Amino acid sequence: MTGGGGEASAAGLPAGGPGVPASRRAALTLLVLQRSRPLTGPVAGLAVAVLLILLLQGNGFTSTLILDMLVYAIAAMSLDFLGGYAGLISLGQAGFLGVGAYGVAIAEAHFYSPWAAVGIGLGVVLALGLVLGIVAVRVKGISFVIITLAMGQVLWGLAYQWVGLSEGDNGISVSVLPSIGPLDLNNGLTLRMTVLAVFAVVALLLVTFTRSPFGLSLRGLRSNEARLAALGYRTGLHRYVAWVIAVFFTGVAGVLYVFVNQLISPTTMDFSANGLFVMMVVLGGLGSIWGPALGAVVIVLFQQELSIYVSRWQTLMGLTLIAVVLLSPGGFWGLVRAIGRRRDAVITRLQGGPGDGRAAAGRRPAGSAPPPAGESADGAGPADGAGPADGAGPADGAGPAGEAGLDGSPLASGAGQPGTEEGRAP
Amino acid sequence: MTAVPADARDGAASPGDACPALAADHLCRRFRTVTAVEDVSLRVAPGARFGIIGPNGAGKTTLFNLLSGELRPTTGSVALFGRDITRMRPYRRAALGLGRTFQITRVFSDLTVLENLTLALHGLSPTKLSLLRPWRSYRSMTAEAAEFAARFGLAGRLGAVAAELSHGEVRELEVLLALALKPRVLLLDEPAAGLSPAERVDIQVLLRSLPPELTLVMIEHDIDLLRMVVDSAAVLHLGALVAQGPIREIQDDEQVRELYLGRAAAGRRPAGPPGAAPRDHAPGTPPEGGGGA
Repeated sequence: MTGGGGEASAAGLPAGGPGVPASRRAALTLLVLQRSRPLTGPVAGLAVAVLLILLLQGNGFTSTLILDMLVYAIAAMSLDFLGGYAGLISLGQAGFLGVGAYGVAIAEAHFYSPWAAVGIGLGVVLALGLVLGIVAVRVKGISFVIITLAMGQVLWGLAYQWVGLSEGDNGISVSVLPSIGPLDLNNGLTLRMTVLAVFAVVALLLVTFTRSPFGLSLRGLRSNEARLAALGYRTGLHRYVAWVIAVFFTGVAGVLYVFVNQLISPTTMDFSANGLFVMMVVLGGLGSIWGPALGAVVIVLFQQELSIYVSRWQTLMGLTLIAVVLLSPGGFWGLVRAIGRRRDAVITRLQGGPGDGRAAAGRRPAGSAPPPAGESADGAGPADGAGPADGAGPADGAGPAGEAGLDGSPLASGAGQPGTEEGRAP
Repeated sequence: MTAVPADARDGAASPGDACPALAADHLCRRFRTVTAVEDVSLRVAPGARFGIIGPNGAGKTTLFNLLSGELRPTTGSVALFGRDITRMRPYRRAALGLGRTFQITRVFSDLTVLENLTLALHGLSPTKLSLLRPWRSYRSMTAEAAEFAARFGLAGRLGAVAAELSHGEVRELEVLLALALKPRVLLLDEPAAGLSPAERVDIQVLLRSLPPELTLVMIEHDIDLLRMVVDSAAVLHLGALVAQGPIREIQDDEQVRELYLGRAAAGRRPAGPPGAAPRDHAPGTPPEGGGGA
């Protein structure tokens, strides 16, 4: 590394040359930026996890707030999986959350054990998703919005009026939570950690799904369905699978909801609740999975924290939504990505910068265009990396070009995804 | 034209072929009162290069949509290598080896070139429903996608979002997507539409480099391009087939010239063919075309 830096200052102009600081400091900055790139995601995730674990130790208002955020985030991320990837915005999300919650509550009210109740709750929501999906995925666009809205309203209506089963307006309270061995959800701390763990698992699963060939097919579906069908994809099936996944995970959120709140009533699934989930997704950033989790955090803060101080918090929430939609179409997550893009721009500048002429010409194909280099690391990559390394100046070429190659491989796998999505964002 | 297989020359015209790659039998498609495709019968032999020409609104794209399954025929049937596919949906036809491109380009515009091609490569593989493994980790697929892109000068554009490609690059990507399925029959809907002369040459080179066993059916307005690629052609006018045969004969066909060289030519001879009522005239014409073939 030092060899590369030294070479650059020796061959290039003195530090502070025209627009290019060909100094040791620049080389160091480049190295730090390049190395940090694939690590940012995992490190940030870990930091947030540690922070949440610490915050959830107490039994106070903060913990309650965070639990609400986590539960809503699961539902919002599920909605994003369907809306942001497959392009199907559902306005019946709260309804399915309610089904998961009522499933548990009603089963417990009928003297099933808590574990059995969890099974029943998830089973009912899965069955409902499988059945309603047959109807729902037949339509797209606004028709899908309307049909899911109707489903949500029917579910709400059932909760409200089928008093014999749901106890109507009063709702059902759940007092006994499942426990197995040391994992006793009746213990507050265990419950809080479990909610956090379930959130993490669902989030990681959804992110994994979006990176899979299936996730790719969903993005293709949103982009151009007729084309996808002509490529041999049974598009209806892909929509259906995405729908069932989204409904099921929303049901999971519902089960957690009833354990956290120990009460489920029709208000949880009313019309405005459905809208709130869509707001979380749009505020956070459609098509990013983590963004809607951020959206859930913001909405819950508005709803439960800001509302204490400001009586017109809903007006403020509306104004925030308008501002975000206008200023950052990618939502809050779009802003996070913009930082990553800026780093990429700096990397590109520093890579393309020092040592004009032969060395730069050698480096360019491998380094200065990160996305292609990252992509081609799958196939043509190795050959590409080797070419410039032995092509350009002996000592100089090997250092930086090798670097770019190293950087390229992690890009291509797992951690590279955010990077390439940055490239895609408008 | 050197690439034309020997059997292809008689492929389009002779109905005696045992098993044509693609056969349309008395296809009709009506949209309410309009008949877009009227009683079209075609037989394209395996490995043939077949063109479909006709003025705007002749029903060429509708015919393609009937062949590829985007539309169902009102009457008539379609067969792929002797198998009736009339009722099959597009994805099933694709699985049987029928690929197509679209006149109005349909690539996945918010996806990168690599993602576009990878998506196409997964199309006929069960991995398209795989959920747990990142698509980037399917090295053989991504390598093949890169290879495909490299074949047509898109190698340096793998990371580019399709929406940012030039028009020519998009048309190439469109053809590549269809080719990625390794189809046995490929339907190309005006592959050269809107291309610059240089890009036309590129696409022509691309089309002539296709494997000889691939059956190609293409709609194209550019007769010069068509002549370089196909060996026989059919002429569609007002939804009906008016001529069919080797491309040279089609080119010299009086009626085709009239259709193509504009109404001016037809209009100059008011007492000529009964052009005043072309719709009535059209169904009566095929024997004539058949005779020419």
